[in-house]
Amino acid sequence: MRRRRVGPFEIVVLLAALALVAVGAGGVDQAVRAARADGRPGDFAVTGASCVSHLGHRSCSCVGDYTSDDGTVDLTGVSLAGGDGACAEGSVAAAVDIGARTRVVHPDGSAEWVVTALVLLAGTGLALWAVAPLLRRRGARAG
Amino acid sequence: MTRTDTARPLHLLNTSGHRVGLALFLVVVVAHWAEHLVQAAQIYILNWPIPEALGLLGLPFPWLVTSEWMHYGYALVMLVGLFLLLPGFTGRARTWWKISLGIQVWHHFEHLLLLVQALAGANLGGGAAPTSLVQLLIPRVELHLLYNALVFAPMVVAMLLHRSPSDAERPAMACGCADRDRVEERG
Repeated sequence: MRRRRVGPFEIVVLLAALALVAVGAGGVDQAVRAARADGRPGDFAVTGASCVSHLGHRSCSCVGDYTSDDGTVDLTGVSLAGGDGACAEGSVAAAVDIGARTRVVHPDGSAEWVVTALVLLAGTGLALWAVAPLLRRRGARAG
Repeated sequence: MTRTDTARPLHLLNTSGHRVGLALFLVVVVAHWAEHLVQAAQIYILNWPIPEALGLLGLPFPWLVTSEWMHYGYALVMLVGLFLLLPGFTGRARTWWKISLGIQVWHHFEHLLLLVQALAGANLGGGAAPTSLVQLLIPRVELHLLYNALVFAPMVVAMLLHRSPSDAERPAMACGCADRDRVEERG
Protein backbone atom coordinates (compact mmCIF):
# COMPACT_ATOMS: atom_id res chain seq x y z
CA MET A 1 0.00 0.00 0.00
CA ARG A 2 1.21 3.50 -0.93
CA ARG A 3 2.37 5.64 1.99
CA ARG A 4 0.52 8.90 2.52
CA ARG A 5 2.42 12.12 1.83
CA VAL A 6 1.82 15.69 2.90
CA GLY A 7 -0.14 17.05 -0.08
CA PRO A 8 -2.59 19.93 -0.67
CA PHE A 9 -5.36 18.12 1.25
CA GLU A 10 -3.13 17.63 4.29
CA ILE A 11 -2.14 21.32 4.17
CA VAL A 12 -5.82 22.41 4.10
CA VAL A 13 -6.53 20.06 7.04
CA LEU A 14 -3.50 21.47 8.89
CA LEU A 15 -4.71 25.06 8.39
CA ALA A 16 -8.22 24.13 9.58
CA ALA A 17 -6.67 22.32 12.57
CA LEU A 18 -4.57 25.35 13.48
CA ALA A 19 -7.69 27.53 13.25
CA LEU A 20 -9.46 25.14 15.65
CA VAL A 21 -6.52 25.25 18.07
CA ALA A 22 -6.49 29.06 17.88
CA VAL A 23 -10.25 29.25 18.60
CA GLY A 24 -9.92 26.74 21.45
CA ALA A 25 -6.89 28.43 22.96
CA GLY A 26 -8.71 31.77 22.82
CA GLY A 27 -11.48 30.28 24.94
CA VAL A 28 -9.33 28.71 27.67
CA ASP A 29 -9.28 31.79 29.91
CA GLN A 30 -13.07 32.21 29.70
CA ALA A 31 -13.65 28.47 30.24
CA VAL A 32 -11.55 28.53 33.44
CA ARG A 33 -13.42 31.59 34.70
CA ALA A 34 -16.76 29.89 33.90
CA ALA A 35 -15.75 26.68 35.68
CA ARG A 36 -14.67 28.62 38.79
CA ALA A 37 -17.49 31.19 38.53
CA ASP A 38 -14.75 33.77 38.70
CA GLY A 39 -16.18 37.23 37.97
CA ARG A 40 -18.55 39.98 39.05
CA PRO A 41 -21.36 38.66 41.31
CA GLY A 42 -24.92 39.87 40.76
CA ASP A 43 -28.57 38.93 40.24
CA PHE A 44 -30.20 37.26 37.27
CA ALA A 45 -33.91 37.99 36.74
CA VAL A 46 -35.52 35.27 34.63
CA THR A 47 -37.59 36.55 31.67
CA GLY A 48 -38.12 33.25 29.86
CA ALA A 49 -36.52 30.20 28.30
CA SER A 50 -35.00 29.73 24.86
CA CYS A 51 -35.59 26.17 23.75
CA VAL A 52 -34.57 23.95 20.86
CA SER A 53 -37.06 21.13 20.77
CA HIS A 54 -37.69 18.21 18.52
CA LEU A 55 -40.23 15.56 19.33
CA GLY A 56 -38.85 14.13 22.56
CA HIS A 57 -35.55 16.01 22.53
CA ARG A 58 -35.71 19.37 24.25
CA SER A 59 -32.83 21.58 25.31
CA CYS A 60 -33.58 24.89 27.01
CA SER A 61 -31.50 27.84 28.16
CA CYS A 62 -32.71 30.21 30.82
CA VAL A 63 -32.86 33.78 29.50
CA GLY A 64 -33.01 36.93 31.62
CA ASP A 65 -31.48 40.22 32.70
CA TYR A 66 -28.37 40.49 34.87
CA THR A 67 -27.40 43.31 37.21
CA SER A 68 -24.12 43.25 39.10
CA ASP A 69 -24.20 43.77 42.89
CA ASP A 70 -22.19 46.99 42.56
CA GLY A 71 -24.64 48.27 39.92
CA THR A 72 -21.95 48.88 37.30
CA VAL A 73 -22.99 46.17 34.82
CA ASP A 74 -26.41 45.62 33.26
CA LEU A 75 -26.87 42.87 30.71
CA THR A 76 -30.25 42.26 29.06
CA GLY A 77 -31.38 39.11 27.26
CA VAL A 78 -28.43 36.99 28.39
CA SER A 79 -28.59 33.27 29.18
CA LEU A 80 -27.66 31.58 32.46
CA ALA A 81 -25.12 28.76 32.12
CA GLY A 82 -24.77 26.02 34.76
CA GLY A 83 -26.93 25.43 37.80
CA ASP A 84 -29.79 22.97 38.23
CA GLY A 85 -31.85 24.29 35.33
CA ALA A 86 -34.50 26.02 37.49
CA CYS A 87 -35.99 28.71 35.27
CA ALA A 88 -39.26 30.07 36.68
CA GLU A 89 -40.22 33.26 34.88
CA GLY A 90 -40.01 36.26 37.23
CA SER A 91 -37.68 34.55 39.70
CA VAL A 92 -34.32 36.06 40.62
CA ALA A 93 -31.18 33.97 41.10
CA ALA A 94 -27.56 34.69 41.95
CA ALA A 95 -25.24 34.77 38.95
CA VAL A 96 -21.70 35.76 38.03
CA ASP A 97 -20.61 37.89 35.06
CA ILE A 98 -17.47 36.23 33.64
CA GLY A 99 -17.10 38.76 30.81
CA ALA A 100 -19.02 36.85 28.12
CA ARG A 101 -21.41 39.17 26.28
CA THR A 102 -24.18 36.59 25.76
CA ARG A 103 -24.34 34.80 29.12
CA VAL A 104 -23.63 34.81 32.85
CA VAL A 105 -22.91 31.71 34.93
CA HIS A 106 -24.40 30.11 38.03
CA PRO A 107 -22.33 30.63 41.24
CA ASP A 108 -21.50 26.88 41.17
CA GLY A 109 -19.79 27.38 37.81
CA SER A 110 -20.43 25.98 34.35
CA ALA A 111 -18.95 22.93 32.62
CA GLU A 112 -18.44 24.67 29.29
CA TRP A 113 -14.70 23.92 29.54
CA VAL A 114 -15.66 20.54 28.05
CA VAL A 115 -16.42 22.26 24.72
CA THR A 116 -13.12 24.16 24.78
CA ALA A 117 -11.24 20.95 25.59
CA LEU A 118 -12.96 19.07 22.74
CA VAL A 119 -12.17 21.83 20.23
CA LEU A 120 -8.50 21.81 21.31
CA LEU A 121 -8.44 18.01 21.15
CA ALA A 122 -10.00 17.95 17.67
CA GLY A 123 -7.58 20.61 16.40
CA THR A 124 -4.54 18.86 17.85
CA GLY A 125 -5.67 15.45 16.54
CA LEU A 126 -6.25 16.77 13.00
CA ALA A 127 -2.92 18.64 13.01
CA LEU A 128 -1.06 15.49 14.10
CA TRP A 129 -2.83 13.47 11.38
CA ALA A 130 -1.84 16.04 8.75
CA VAL A 131 1.86 16.07 9.68
CA ALA A 132 2.08 12.35 10.58
CA PRO A 133 3.88 11.42 7.30
CA LEU A 134 6.59 14.00 8.07
CA LEU A 135 6.92 12.74 11.66
CA ARG A 136 7.09 9.13 10.46
CA ARG A 137 9.78 9.95 7.89
CA ARG A 138 11.77 11.81 10.55
CA GLY A 139 11.41 8.87 12.95
CA ALA A 140 12.52 6.42 10.27
CA ARG A 141 15.59 8.55 9.50
CA ALA A 142 16.49 8.82 13.21
CA GLY A 143 15.93 5.07 13.69
CA MET B 1 -37.68 -8.58 -8.21
CA THR B 2 -36.23 -11.94 -7.12
CA ARG B 3 -34.59 -12.63 -3.79
CA THR B 4 -31.21 -12.86 -5.53
CA ASP B 5 -31.68 -9.38 -7.07
CA THR B 6 -32.27 -7.79 -3.68
CA ALA B 7 -29.64 -9.86 -1.85
CA ARG B 8 -26.81 -9.07 -4.28
CA PRO B 9 -26.29 -5.38 -3.37
CA LEU B 10 -26.36 -6.32 0.31
CA HIS B 11 -23.81 -9.07 -0.35
CA LEU B 12 -21.54 -6.62 -2.21
CA LEU B 13 -21.90 -4.05 0.57
CA ASN B 14 -20.74 -6.59 3.13
CA THR B 15 -17.87 -8.06 1.10
CA SER B 16 -15.89 -5.97 -1.41
CA GLY B 17 -17.81 -2.79 -0.52
CA HIS B 18 -17.68 -3.12 3.27
CA ARG B 19 -14.63 -0.92 3.76
CA VAL B 20 -16.03 1.89 1.58
CA GLY B 21 -19.48 1.49 3.16
CA LEU B 22 -18.06 1.77 6.66
CA ALA B 23 -15.94 4.78 5.65
CA LEU B 24 -18.96 6.63 4.21
CA PHE B 25 -21.05 5.76 7.26
CA LEU B 26 -18.28 7.05 9.54
CA VAL B 27 -18.03 10.30 7.54
CA VAL B 28 -21.77 10.94 8.05
CA VAL B 29 -21.56 10.17 11.78
CA VAL B 30 -18.39 12.24 12.37
CA ALA B 31 -19.81 15.17 10.34
CA HIS B 32 -22.90 15.10 12.58
CA TRP B 33 -20.74 15.21 15.71
CA ALA B 34 -18.57 17.97 14.18
CA GLU B 35 -21.66 20.10 13.55
CA HIS B 36 -22.70 19.71 17.19
CA LEU B 37 -19.19 20.65 18.34
CA VAL B 38 -19.10 23.72 16.08
CA GLN B 39 -22.51 24.77 17.42
CA ALA B 40 -21.30 24.39 21.02
CA ALA B 41 -18.10 26.32 20.23
CA GLN B 42 -20.15 29.13 18.67
CA ILE B 43 -22.13 29.42 21.91
CA TYR B 44 -19.50 28.79 24.58
CA ILE B 45 -16.23 30.00 23.00
CA LEU B 46 -17.27 32.60 20.42
CA ASN B 47 -20.17 33.88 22.60
CA TRP B 48 -22.75 33.89 19.78
CA PRO B 49 -26.41 34.26 20.81
CA ILE B 50 -27.98 30.77 20.94
CA PRO B 51 -30.55 31.34 18.14
CA GLU B 52 -27.69 32.37 15.79
CA ALA B 53 -25.46 29.41 16.66
CA LEU B 54 -26.45 27.02 13.86
CA GLY B 55 -23.20 25.14 13.24
CA LEU B 56 -21.43 25.38 9.85
CA LEU B 57 -24.05 24.05 7.45
CA GLY B 58 -26.84 25.63 9.47
CA LEU B 59 -25.61 29.14 8.62
CA PRO B 60 -26.41 28.94 4.89
CA PHE B 61 -29.15 26.31 5.41
CA PRO B 62 -30.95 27.05 8.72
CA TRP B 63 -33.65 24.46 7.94
CA LEU B 64 -31.02 21.75 8.51
CA VAL B 65 -31.09 22.60 12.21
CA THR B 66 -34.78 23.35 12.61
CA SER B 67 -36.28 20.65 10.38
CA GLU B 68 -37.98 17.82 12.25
CA TRP B 69 -37.48 15.55 9.25
CA MET B 70 -33.73 16.22 9.13
CA HIS B 71 -33.49 15.38 12.83
CA TYR B 72 -35.44 12.15 12.45
CA GLY B 73 -33.76 11.40 9.11
CA TYR B 74 -30.34 11.24 10.73
CA ALA B 75 -31.60 8.77 13.34
CA LEU B 76 -33.07 6.69 10.51
CA VAL B 77 -29.81 6.77 8.51
CA MET B 78 -28.02 5.52 11.64
CA LEU B 79 -30.48 2.65 12.07
CA VAL B 80 -30.41 1.60 8.41
CA GLY B 81 -26.61 1.89 8.19
CA LEU B 82 -26.05 -0.16 11.34
CA PHE B 83 -28.47 -2.81 10.08
CA LEU B 84 -27.16 -3.04 6.50
CA LEU B 85 -23.48 -3.18 7.48
CA LEU B 86 -23.96 -5.81 10.23
CA PRO B 87 -23.45 -8.99 8.10
CA GLY B 88 -19.87 -7.94 7.27
CA PHE B 89 -18.83 -8.08 10.94
CA THR B 90 -17.51 -11.17 12.68
CA GLY B 91 -16.40 -12.15 16.20
CA ARG B 92 -16.04 -9.47 18.87
CA ALA B 93 -16.60 -6.66 16.37
CA ARG B 94 -20.01 -8.15 15.51
CA THR B 95 -20.99 -8.22 19.19
CA TRP B 96 -20.12 -4.51 19.63
CA TRP B 97 -21.88 -3.57 16.38
CA LYS B 98 -24.99 -5.42 17.62
CA ILE B 99 -24.88 -3.47 20.90
CA SER B 100 -24.81 -0.23 18.92
CA LEU B 101 -27.67 -1.46 16.70
CA GLY B 102 -29.68 -2.52 19.78
CA ILE B 103 -29.40 0.94 21.34
CA GLN B 104 -30.41 2.59 18.08
CA VAL B 105 -33.41 0.25 17.77
CA TRP B 106 -34.46 1.31 21.29
CA HIS B 107 -33.98 4.96 20.30
CA HIS B 108 -36.39 4.39 17.42
CA PHE B 109 -38.87 2.65 19.66
CA GLU B 110 -38.86 5.81 21.77
CA HIS B 111 -39.44 7.92 18.65
CA LEU B 112 -42.38 5.68 17.77
CA LEU B 113 -43.82 6.12 21.27
CA LEU B 114 -43.55 9.89 20.89
CA LEU B 115 -45.21 9.81 17.49
CA VAL B 116 -48.08 7.66 18.80
CA GLN B 117 -48.60 10.04 21.73
CA ALA B 118 -48.60 13.04 19.40
CA LEU B 119 -51.09 11.36 17.05
CA ALA B 120 -53.34 10.02 19.84
CA GLY B 121 -53.28 13.25 21.87
CA ALA B 122 -52.67 11.28 25.10
CA ASN B 123 -49.29 11.43 26.79
CA LEU B 124 -47.36 8.94 28.95
CA GLY B 125 -47.64 9.62 32.69
CA GLY B 126 -50.38 12.19 32.02
CA GLY B 127 -47.75 14.73 30.99
CA ALA B 128 -48.44 17.99 29.18
CA ALA B 129 -46.17 16.98 26.29
CA PRO B 130 -45.25 13.67 24.62
CA THR B 131 -42.70 11.89 26.83
CA SER B 132 -40.31 9.01 26.11
CA LEU B 133 -39.74 6.17 28.61
CA VAL B 134 -36.20 7.34 29.42
CA GLN B 135 -37.45 10.89 29.96
CA LEU B 136 -39.74 9.54 32.71
CA LEU B 137 -36.59 8.31 34.52
CA ILE B 138 -34.14 11.05 33.55
CA PRO B 139 -35.96 14.33 33.07
CA ARG B 140 -34.29 17.35 31.49
CA VAL B 141 -31.46 15.51 29.82
CA GLU B 142 -30.19 16.37 26.36
CA LEU B 143 -31.29 12.96 25.15
CA HIS B 144 -30.26 13.53 21.55
CA LEU B 145 -26.57 13.79 22.45
CA LEU B 146 -26.84 11.04 25.07
CA TYR B 147 -28.32 8.57 22.58
CA ASN B 148 -25.80 9.51 19.89
CA ALA B 149 -22.92 9.01 22.32
CA LEU B 150 -24.33 5.65 23.47
CA VAL B 151 -24.63 4.46 19.85
CA PHE B 152 -21.31 5.96 18.71
CA ALA B 153 -19.06 4.44 21.41
CA PRO B 154 -19.76 0.71 20.70
CA MET B 155 -19.77 1.50 16.97
CA VAL B 156 -16.21 2.82 17.17
CA VAL B 157 -15.10 -0.18 19.26
CA ALA B 158 -16.62 -2.49 16.62
CA MET B 159 -14.83 -0.68 13.78
CA LEU B 160 -11.46 -0.81 15.57
CA LEU B 161 -11.84 -4.53 16.34
CA HIS B 162 -12.97 -5.14 12.75
CA ARG B 163 -9.83 -3.48 11.37
CA SER B 164 -7.57 -5.50 13.68
CA PRO B 165 -9.14 -8.96 13.97
CA SER B 166 -7.61 -11.80 15.94
CA ASP B 167 -6.15 -14.78 14.09
CA ALA B 168 -9.31 -16.72 14.90
CA GLU B 169 -11.62 -13.98 13.56
CA ARG B 170 -9.74 -13.17 10.36
CA PRO B 171 -10.65 -16.33 8.32
CA ALA B 172 -14.37 -15.65 8.85
CA MET B 173 -14.13 -12.14 7.34
CA ALA B 174 -15.46 -11.80 3.81
CA CYS B 175 -14.40 -8.16 3.37
CA GLY B 176 -11.02 -6.48 2.90
CA CYS B 177 -11.33 -4.19 5.92
CA ALA B 178 -8.27 -5.68 7.66
CA ASP B 179 -6.18 -6.21 4.51
CA ARG B 180 -4.12 -3.06 5.00
CA ASP B 181 -2.73 -4.47 8.26
CA ARG B 182 -1.88 -7.70 6.49
CA VAL B 183 0.01 -5.89 3.69
CA GLU B 184 1.96 -3.80 6.20
CA GLU B 185 2.84 -6.90 8.23
CA ARG B 186 4.15 -8.59 5.07
CA GLY B 187 6.01 -5.44 3.98
